[in-house]
Amino acid sequence: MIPMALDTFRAFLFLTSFPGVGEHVVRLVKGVLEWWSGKKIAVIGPTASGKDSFLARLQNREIPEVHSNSPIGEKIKSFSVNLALSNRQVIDITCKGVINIGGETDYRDAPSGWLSVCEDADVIFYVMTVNDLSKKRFLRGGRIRQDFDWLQSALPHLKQGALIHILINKIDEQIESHTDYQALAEELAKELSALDRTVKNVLHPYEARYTGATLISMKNKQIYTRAINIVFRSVYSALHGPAKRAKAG
Amino acid sequence: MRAYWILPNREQNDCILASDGSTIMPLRQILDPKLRPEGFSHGVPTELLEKSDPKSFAEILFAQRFPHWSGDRQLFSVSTPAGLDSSGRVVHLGLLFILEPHEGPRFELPYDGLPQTDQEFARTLIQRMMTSGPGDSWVQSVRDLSELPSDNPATNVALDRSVVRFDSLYVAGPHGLTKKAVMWMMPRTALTILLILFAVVSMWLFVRACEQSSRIAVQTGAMTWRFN
Repeated sequence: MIPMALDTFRAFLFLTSFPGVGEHVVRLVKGVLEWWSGKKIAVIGPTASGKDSFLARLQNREIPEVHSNSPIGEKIKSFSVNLALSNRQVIDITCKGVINIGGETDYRDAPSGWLSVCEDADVIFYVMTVNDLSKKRFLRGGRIRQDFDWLQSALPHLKQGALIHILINKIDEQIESHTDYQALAEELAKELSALDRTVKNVLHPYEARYTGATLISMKNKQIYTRAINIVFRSVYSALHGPAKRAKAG
Repeated sequence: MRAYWILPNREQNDCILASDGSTIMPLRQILDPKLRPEGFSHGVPTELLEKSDPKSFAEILFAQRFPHWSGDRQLFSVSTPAGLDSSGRVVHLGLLFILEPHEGPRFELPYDGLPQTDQEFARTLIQRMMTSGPGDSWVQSVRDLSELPSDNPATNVALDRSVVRFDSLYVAGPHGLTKKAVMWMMPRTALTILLILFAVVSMWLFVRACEQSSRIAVQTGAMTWRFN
């Protein structure tokens, strides 16, 4: 089991170093830790995309053996995120006011659904899966595209400057079902590029709120740790980077 | 009364399915998401599963009541865990009732048209609601909720993590349900009347005490003096 996990992680490192995939890895920017402290986040996404697992990982808990598809909006108490970075730095932040809700469209479209959980959030994590990516469910008519359309219409009602980051979960399953990682990396690069274009088009004129997409695995702890570091840095960098988020308001 | 099954999302579909017992349709055709009451749950909240012993998941019943949901009509729902989905997550089977004012839920819905896997859970739920005695505290809590004379949204079991606040009758723990103190189960109007009565009686006692205060003080002083 462990060697398999290691192999998967190595393959993940290879993928994230690939042009078009690796550009999602950015340098640690001074101030990232302070910026994240006390931020309010919302986690949304289709059913079974990994929202509950993400919360468990953020809370430094193992993914519970017994868990449920979330049938009701639930508040989660403030918690600390402690993540050791490879360069001896430690992310030690507090997440306040996390709200978790179901992924079915019934919840998305209810007034007390996604809109109510996202309206006070500083950062909205949209969780989807690599399978959604490869099946191109982000193109017109697909479920992911409908969610992006929903986000576009919701943005004017959300907190000013709220950011959106996409987590593409279950990369471990893709890695384990492939042997040719070069081919997988090329395929992923194309799909990620298409996703980026779609998100920016759909979110217009709020495209500056989109901070990027990150491949992740909630199940594989090594990949998760590596990827979540990337996420924390990416969101911060997108906000404070050279482009400045002039349009983000 | 209109009653529907809310089916377990075993296939991790994008929308929740429902059935009138014979035909399967998206839940949104019955309950428009825009008209869905705030805090409505299509299953057992995760926090109740976490509070309960996994061996007794099958016993759990979670019920909600929304009086005046649409005009005078009320919404009443009961759900129970119904196995696992393809990722091993607990999924739920629910019963949804759209009730006229002062109407109570009747657990008579057919389940022949449900998918085979769901029929056994449906049969068990109906049988429990129809025949279980007061020894089944989960069933009793649902019955108590259906008879609750309250105008507020309420659940049979208290929720700590719900975004919406509900009146509730019972508290869940690892050993099952415990009924809350009677005061908490009283409807808000009754509590208000009780508080007003209490205030009036207190005022009356206060006025009487003031009228007699000088005499009492003298008596007390006299008593103190004697003891010293």
